[in-house]
Amino acid sequence: MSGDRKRDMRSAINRLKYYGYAAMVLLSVLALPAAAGAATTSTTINSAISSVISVFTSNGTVTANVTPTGAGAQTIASDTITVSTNDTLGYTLQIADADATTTMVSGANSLAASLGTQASPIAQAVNTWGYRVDGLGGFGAGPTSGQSSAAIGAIKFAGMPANSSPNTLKTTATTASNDTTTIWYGVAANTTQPTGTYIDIVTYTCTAN
Amino acid sequence: MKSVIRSGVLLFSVAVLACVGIVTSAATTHAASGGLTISPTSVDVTVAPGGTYKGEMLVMNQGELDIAYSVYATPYSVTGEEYKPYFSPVKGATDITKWFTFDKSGNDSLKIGTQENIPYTITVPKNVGAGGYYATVFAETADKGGAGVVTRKRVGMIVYLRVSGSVKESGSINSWNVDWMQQAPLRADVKVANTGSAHFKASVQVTVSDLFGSKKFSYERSPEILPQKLRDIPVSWENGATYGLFKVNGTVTYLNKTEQLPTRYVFVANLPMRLLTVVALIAFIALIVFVSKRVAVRKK
Repeated sequence: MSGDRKRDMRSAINRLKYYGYAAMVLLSVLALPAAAGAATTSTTINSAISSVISVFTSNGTVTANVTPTGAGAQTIASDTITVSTNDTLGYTLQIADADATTTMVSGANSLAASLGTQASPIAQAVNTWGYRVDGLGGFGAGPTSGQSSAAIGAIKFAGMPANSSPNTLKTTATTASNDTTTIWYGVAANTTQPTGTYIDIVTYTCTAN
Repeated sequence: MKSVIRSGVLLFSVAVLACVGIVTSAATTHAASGGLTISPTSVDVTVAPGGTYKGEMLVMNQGELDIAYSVYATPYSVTGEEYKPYFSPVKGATDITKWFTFDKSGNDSLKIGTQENIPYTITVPKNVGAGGYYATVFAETADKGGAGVVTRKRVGMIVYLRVSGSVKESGSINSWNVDWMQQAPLRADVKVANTGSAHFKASVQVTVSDLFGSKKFSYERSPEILPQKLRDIPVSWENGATYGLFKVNGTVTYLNKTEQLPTRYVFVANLPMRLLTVVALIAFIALIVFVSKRVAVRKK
């Protein structure tokens, strides 16, 4: 090998060395952001979700007008209660009269509450009013359907309990989203019941368990 | 001419159907819903005798009608192991509703989509003994009507109040029931008793797994256990397996201790599947006996 070729080889090797150093420097620079990223701190995000509960009904007033007959006529109308809660223990829905007087009143006249109870409901007697929920307590499966001043049927109703002794309509054990309960009100009257606009106030109570 | 009449009839039919549709949708939207939403659903506070606690309850109108409502406190107690709530005064129990004062008593017209905070203060008298006291703060609609059944809605926030001092804290797991044969949904019941003078939370954790240890269902709840009461905490695997053999494990953590519930095995099947399982079992045993006899005969 001549002296010129040896010099050429050395200079080629030196060039390769410089390229290597340059590549290393370049890689180090490129790696800097990654190293800087590794030095960042983490953040913990906390979020407390509050518990909520809601109750809605389809009607503020359930109208059950009756045109009485001698034998008695019955009107049945419904109300739908909708409950939502994110409480994991679920909710309890209760019903009771707003006060201790469970009759529907029109001036000096009154329409008695049914003598049936939620556990032992009875077919509606004339000149009484009551409620039922299909499939609950002793009411039976139903299905109940609305009617207007028709003959009194065999479907069973309970009297509204006083405010001090509410009845439970539903108890759940988990969260609920638009969970509905349909409650049917029945009013039966014959021609001995004085005419008038009868009214009573019922309270639906809903609390988380 | 006929085609013109046909087209006319068709157009008329479409128009009638459209009108029915409009009426139907109008009837649907007419059934406006009225009611209230509150937050939180319960609070657990500790106050010293003579001390006060200030809190807030959020009342929201998420319905389709402006709502008039009032706010008030009632006593809170429970009856039975299922904890049926009761909001009237109970003989012998301290009625703490007089300890509550509200900055607002409600609203004559809470507009749709709006909300408001109801600040309240609980002032505990100085001479009150240590222990648990309970009340419910209700937001109740003020529906009025001239005829029929007027329905009012009320939603309550339960207040678990602990008056600090020398409070007796004790409780126990009363029972852990898991029937060995059930129909779906699989159900277990753990009953926790509070024999102390103040409430505590019982954290119940239950897992259901198959025989290979694969977790199929887990349950975790922390209900309050009221003093001198027994609470049944039902665990139900809703929409779970309808057939199979499962292992049920659980723990209950309360008053700074954790107790392991004994492992239970449950066979879940409805009646036809139970009969089928018995028939299959008998057939399997018969097959084993038959094969064993054949093997014995051949050996001879």
